[in-house]
Amino acid sequence: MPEGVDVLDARTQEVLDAVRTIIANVIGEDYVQELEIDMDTSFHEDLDIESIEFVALGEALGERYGERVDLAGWIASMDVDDIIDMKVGRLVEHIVSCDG
Amino acid sequence: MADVTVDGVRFNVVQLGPPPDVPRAGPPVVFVHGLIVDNLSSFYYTLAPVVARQVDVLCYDLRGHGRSDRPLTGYRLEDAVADLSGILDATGLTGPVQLVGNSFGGTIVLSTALWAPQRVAAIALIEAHPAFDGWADGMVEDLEDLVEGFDGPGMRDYIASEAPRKMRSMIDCCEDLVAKSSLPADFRLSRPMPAADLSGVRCPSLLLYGDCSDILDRGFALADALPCSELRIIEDCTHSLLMEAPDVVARHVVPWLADPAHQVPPCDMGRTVPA
Repeated sequence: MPEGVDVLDARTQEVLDAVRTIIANVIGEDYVQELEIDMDTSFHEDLDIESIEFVALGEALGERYGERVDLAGWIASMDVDDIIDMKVGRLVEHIVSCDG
Repeated sequence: MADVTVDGVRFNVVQLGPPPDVPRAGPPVVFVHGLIVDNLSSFYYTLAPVVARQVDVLCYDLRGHGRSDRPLTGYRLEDAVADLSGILDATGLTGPVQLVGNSFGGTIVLSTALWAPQRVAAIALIEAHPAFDGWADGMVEDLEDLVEGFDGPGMRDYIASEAPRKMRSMIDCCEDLVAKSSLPADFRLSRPMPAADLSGVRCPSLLLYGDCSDILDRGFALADALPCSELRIIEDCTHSLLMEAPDVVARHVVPWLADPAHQVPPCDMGRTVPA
């Protein structure tokens, strides 16, 4: 294990894998193939994701994990800077936190 | 997120709402976004989830926008009203709904209230462009200026080689709609909406405009023309009111929609226009 790389627990790794797959479906396999998507990947800076793609991502996550994930409600509670700075890891952690 | 097909055109539709076993506090609310660079996300991340705590909500990408199909024809205002009616039919929303429109979405909402009044319980317009005389020419001129900007010095090289994916997607959408589709011609062919006709709109209407908006005069004109209207002017905001102050817009729109007096037309409320 390279130094500085966090080991993810099984549930977090599983959600990260699912999020990766859905991102690829939404924004296109070709584009995503050029990128390494991990917990530190920024939706804005790295993926250059469009707002409507983020909606599609949220809806796909809702279908997979149920309405408790409520991405629209979660995003609506954030300020603009939080949304712009969002990383894949924050979304993954939100989904994991909805497990309860 | 689901696809709804109306007359062969596929629309991207998102429906939100309270859990199925919770009684709805009013009619469904349908959000209609603005032109070209806009899509349903501008409501999905602002008003829609707040309203969806109480009632069913539908957001959709207009023809040619977002993740809906981008056909080369069908961009008259009456086409937009037919699209909206078709989406409501396809999703089972056959009773009157409350419509919320932003900018050009407000034009569509006004057109629907005028030409398909049986569909509409109330309308909330955010920085709406009424399609009065000269509307089409003004819109087309602005859109053509926007697209001409892509031919500026070095722009084509930049777009082809360096522009971020998101920017290229936005530029493709602009060029498809403005330079390739019938949208500019269709705007000019759209059925006129004279101010005098708006006196026939009997549903309650809320009008929100920024005090620094370049189309604030349309707010006053609509407040004069619509019999059951209430004009509210938001301080320190421009035409981008929804993006600049989503919380303020929500504080005005959400309770207004929830007021039972605004859920069933026709209204008998008086007009409220600032002095």
